[in-house]
Amino acid sequence: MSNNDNQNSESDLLRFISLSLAASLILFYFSTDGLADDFVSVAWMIPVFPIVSFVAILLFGHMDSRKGGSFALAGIGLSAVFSLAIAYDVLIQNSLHGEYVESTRTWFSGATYSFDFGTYVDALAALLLLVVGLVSYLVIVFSTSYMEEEGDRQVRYFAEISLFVGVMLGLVVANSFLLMFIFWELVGVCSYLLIGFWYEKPSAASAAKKAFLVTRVGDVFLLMGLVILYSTFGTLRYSELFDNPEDLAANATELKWATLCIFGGAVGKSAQFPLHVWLPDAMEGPTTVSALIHAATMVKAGVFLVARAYPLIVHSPDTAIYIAVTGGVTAFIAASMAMVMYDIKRVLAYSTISQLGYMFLALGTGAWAVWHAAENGIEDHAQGYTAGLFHLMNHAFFKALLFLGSGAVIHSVHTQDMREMGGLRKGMPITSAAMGLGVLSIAGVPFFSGFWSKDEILEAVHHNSEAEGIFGILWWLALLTAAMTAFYMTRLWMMTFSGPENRVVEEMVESKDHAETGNWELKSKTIKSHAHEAPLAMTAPLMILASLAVFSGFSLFLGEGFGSRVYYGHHADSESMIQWSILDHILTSSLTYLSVIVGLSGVTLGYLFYKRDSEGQTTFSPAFVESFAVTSYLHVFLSNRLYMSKFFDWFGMRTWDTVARACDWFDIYIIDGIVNGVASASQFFSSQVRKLNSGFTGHYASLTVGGLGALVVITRIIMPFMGWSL
Amino acid sequence: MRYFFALLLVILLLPVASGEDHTVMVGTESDTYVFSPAVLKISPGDNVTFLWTPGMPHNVAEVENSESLTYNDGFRSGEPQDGGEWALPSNLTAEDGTLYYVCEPHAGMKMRGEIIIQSAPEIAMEFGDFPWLSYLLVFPLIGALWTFGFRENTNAPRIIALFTTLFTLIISIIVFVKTGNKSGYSLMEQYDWAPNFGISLLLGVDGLSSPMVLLTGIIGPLTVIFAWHEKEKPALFFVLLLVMQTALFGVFITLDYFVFYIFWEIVLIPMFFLIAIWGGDNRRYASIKFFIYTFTASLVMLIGFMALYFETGGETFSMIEIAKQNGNFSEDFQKWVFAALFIGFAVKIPSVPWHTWLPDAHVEAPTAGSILLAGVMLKMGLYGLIRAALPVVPLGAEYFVPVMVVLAIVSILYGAALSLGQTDLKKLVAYSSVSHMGVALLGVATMTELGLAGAVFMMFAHGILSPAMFMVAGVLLHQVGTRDIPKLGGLAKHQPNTAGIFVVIFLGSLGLPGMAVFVAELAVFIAFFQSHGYWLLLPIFGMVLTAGYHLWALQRAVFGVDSEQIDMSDVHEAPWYEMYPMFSIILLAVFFGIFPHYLMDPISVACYDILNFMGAI
Repeated sequence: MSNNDNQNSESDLLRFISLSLAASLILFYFSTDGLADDFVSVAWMIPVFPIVSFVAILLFGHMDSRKGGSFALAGIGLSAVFSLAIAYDVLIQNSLHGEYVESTRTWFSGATYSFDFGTYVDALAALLLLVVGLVSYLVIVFSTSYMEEEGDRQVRYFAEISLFVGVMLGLVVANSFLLMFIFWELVGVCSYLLIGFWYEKPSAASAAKKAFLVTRVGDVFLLMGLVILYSTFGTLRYSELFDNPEDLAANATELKWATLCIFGGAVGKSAQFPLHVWLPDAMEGPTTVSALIHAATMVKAGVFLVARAYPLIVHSPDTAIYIAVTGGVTAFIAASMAMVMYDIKRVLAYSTISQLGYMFLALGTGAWAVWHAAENGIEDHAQGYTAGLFHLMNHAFFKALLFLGSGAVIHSVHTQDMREMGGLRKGMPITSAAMGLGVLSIAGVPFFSGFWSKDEILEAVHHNSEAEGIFGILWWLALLTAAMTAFYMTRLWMMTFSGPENRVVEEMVESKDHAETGNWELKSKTIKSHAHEAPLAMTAPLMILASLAVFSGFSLFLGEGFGSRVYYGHHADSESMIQWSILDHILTSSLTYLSVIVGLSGVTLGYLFYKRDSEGQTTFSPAFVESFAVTSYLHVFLSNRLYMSKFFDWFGMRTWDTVARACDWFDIYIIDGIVNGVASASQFFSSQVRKLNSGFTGHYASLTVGGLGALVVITRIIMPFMGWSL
Repeated sequence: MRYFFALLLVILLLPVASGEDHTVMVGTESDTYVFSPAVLKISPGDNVTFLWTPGMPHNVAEVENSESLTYNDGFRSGEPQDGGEWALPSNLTAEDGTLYYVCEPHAGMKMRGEIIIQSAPEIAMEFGDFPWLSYLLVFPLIGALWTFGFRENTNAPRIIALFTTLFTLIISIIVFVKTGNKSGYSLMEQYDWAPNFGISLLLGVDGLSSPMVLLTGIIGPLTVIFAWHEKEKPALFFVLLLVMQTALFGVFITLDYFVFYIFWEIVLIPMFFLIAIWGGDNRRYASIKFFIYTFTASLVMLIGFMALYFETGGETFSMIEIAKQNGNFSEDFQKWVFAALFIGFAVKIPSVPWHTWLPDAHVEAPTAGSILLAGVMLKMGLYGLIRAALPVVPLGAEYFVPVMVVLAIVSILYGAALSLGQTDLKKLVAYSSVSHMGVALLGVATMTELGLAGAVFMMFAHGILSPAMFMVAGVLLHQVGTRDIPKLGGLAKHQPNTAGIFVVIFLGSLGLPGMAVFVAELAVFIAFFQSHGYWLLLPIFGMVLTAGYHLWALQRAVFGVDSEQIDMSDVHEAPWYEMYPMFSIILLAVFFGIFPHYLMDPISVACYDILNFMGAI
């Protein structure tokens, strides 16, 4: 494709995008009657547009010049415009004043039961609409270029990703736990289909299945939680559940189990320990899928769910602590594994798990604080709630940026192994700069977005530690995680982008006589970087996301501040969370400086250890790790992902294979054996009985009398004797 | 001989038939100023005895209403007494109504009670002005004769069969729509057959049978289309399918035990021949096993029917009439009859441990046979249980709830584990039916409106998706000549559209929300938690196993690299006559998954009626 063609298609795309977005705006204007405040009347359309484009792509995708991309752009563009408009209305204009708007209908019902569906928009939903709408649209734009070489397969890609965006937005605006669960399962299926996009690769097919099954374990718990809720309160609608706090408080035990089960669902979907094993494998899918589904949106559904269930969780301190501990432990474990991975996408995957753990830590902390405050008769706004959701938003932007950036890198060098990268800075200036900003943001370098939210989380946890000792431990874990995060992200950037353009790498390969001797040999190969900058359709989303990664943190001070819109419980009039006083608070707190020091030292260590020198070698090579027994064992342990994935595979395959075989044997030889045994026994008896069918009336008569006698004996003597009666 | 034994059994059972006895304690040990139970519900004709516990002197005296405290010249046990007993005059309990009474010395202390006399609820019976249901029975038969007339022709049989089944489908849709959400039976027809024995062709549909009629109607044309290129004796093949359809309709619309039994047995005959003539290598064993197993069970069921017939005086076989008298059956009688009926139905469901005929029958049956077997025939068992057993012997059903729960849970988990271990795709699907029908049985065992409705919905949902699964197996057999999962692999690359349909069908079958099976599972699980609490953890865990065997089979058979053990050169998109039925089923499953109320509303009304009849609400 010549340069000219390229520019043509780019201007084509640009024209299409601007036209479709303008059309969407016009449609929104008319369907809301000129931006009147009845936007709940259009909330239901948000998930419908992408689902319609899903159907359209299935039917007409082959005729489209972008192989369905145009439909996806149009449909997702529509819902992005609608989502952002609603988010603007709720988060900037504060049209809801902390309330919610709901529209509901009966799905199916009987005399003794009823299930409803509808939409429910509040600040939380608006925040998620903002994140999902924006990121998904950028990812689709990125995909039109990134997936181009897939040819006709793009039809399937765009169809599945449109469906995903639709059901993800449906999950956000649903008005009951039941409807949310339905969309929850559907996003899981889309994730299954997209991880297995290259289904002819056995590893991809297997990873897809693993992702579905592991999250299904969580989903079963979630369904159990919903069943408990429905049985206890007779409804699954948010408004009906949340509006009766006394009713909730009166059923504390059921609520505890229900919320624990609901969190079980979040553990599966958001890849928390011990169900985190599926997410790194899910990187088998296209990188755009990883960016959208496995970093920015679907894995956030668990966080969203916990935030949604907050009015329930604040009645159950056990659940709150369990959430916080799971989050803290996951954040730490995942970060430790991210430090040793060489696959660029896996580093990001573990980083995602770790950051999600951070969010759960924040949410659990906040819920516990609310409960604690209520016990002591004071009202408290949940700082953890605001901090966790603030981090959710920031993370969505910078992690989507990092994934898309890594996608651009993989697209250009055709490898995912960071050891084979290096020196890409010159070839891909925009990508490297954008990713650099993302790294600084996630590392918590001051004034980048990650800094603000991470600091908020650490402060919330520290605040709780005064009342409950376990939060002290969690705070230390979180601080350590912050340092590790800064370290491995710097490592990622340094290994990928620093150093000379061409260099020699050594790798272990199987020797020619490997089959007989099992020998390995060291082979060097020269890596020549043909890296070139990605086209505009890919760099433009990167630049937008990079600016968000830098600036989204400032929404803390925008207008009345993030905390005055997204909060739980008592409205945050208290000065700690509002406008500029919060900046004052952050800048004067010693905790802030501690987390800054920790973050910067992580960055420095990462820079020192992994900066490639003029020959492309890093200071901190694998050989260096091997030279100490402790670090080498640790390295092996972490590289093998704590052996958990292997254990799960073993448990899943071997155990169930054995059970299945045992059942099969039992079925064939015992149950069916008895059936066939009875059959042949009766055959034998009938052959004996046939001799009795002699045709003599006397024989028949005696048989009849005998049978009757036996029946009388059985019914009148034996059965009463056994205590049975007829 | 059969009749003789049934008669004998019934004669032995007869003496227990009379009004039930109830006792009201006057002053219990802990609180001497109460009647226990204070509110007693009885049927007309029952006897009530008051029994004094020693302690305080009390008496029983009728009052006007639930507020009044003064004796109104009604019944009275006499002066206050300490100890002893008194029987309420039986003429007082002969008719419906409510009796209020107090203890005269302690009326001021709210020592009062009431007896509610209530006969079984009335059932609305609406006789139609047009014999739709008879047409349902007659049309497939006419089609069968017509087809048989053209057995030399290659094209005529399938065209006639398709035409007939499509026409029948239209009638069944009309029946479904006309039944609507009405309580009671609609479109009823009655033709005397053997009035001396109380046998008549009594037809009628309610919210329970109309979904089954619709299901039978839908499966008909799909089966014919899928078997479009049947080469071996096509005319006979389609004749058997049509005869089978008539018999299935008969089972679902008959309200007479005797005729029900006849249709029940007729269903076996075409299926027997379908397996025995068009089956696989081991067809002789499978068909005979199928026939003898289910036939034996039906005989046990017949004994139950006969017991009911004679218990009610041998005047009628009408399910409605017999069910109306369920208040007169003693508890022991109900237990025995329910046990007999349950065995008959459980084999058909099939519930573990009576399921082993199913995989054999499925593996040997031709795809069209499997479709009918899994799609409609398996639904007869649970339909019979809900229609012919629950309202008639409610106490027996209640007694056997723990048994049903255990069997259902074992069926769910054991069936899923078995599916996990299969290599033959068809056997896998067969065992998955055991697992799915276990969910439905669990719903019945909850004895709640939601649970029963979920069970019936599962019957419908499984009734459309399980045939689709068998169609997948059939397509594979056509294309690559084997259904052995380890030998397959890499099909998706050669037939992307077909593989896409496979994936959607598998996802629907594993209970994906948005498709029909999920709604049923949701309803059953919620109902089961409400009735049995945290035991739900066991069956709900089956969802993981279900997802496991479905996805594992997909991964091995459809995805991955090309298999080297099979010839992939012939693998291409499935032909239209295989794609259309599968695609239609997907549309139906999605439709009823998103709009379940079209089915759930009538089903719920019918289930509520049945529970009402059982006195469970």
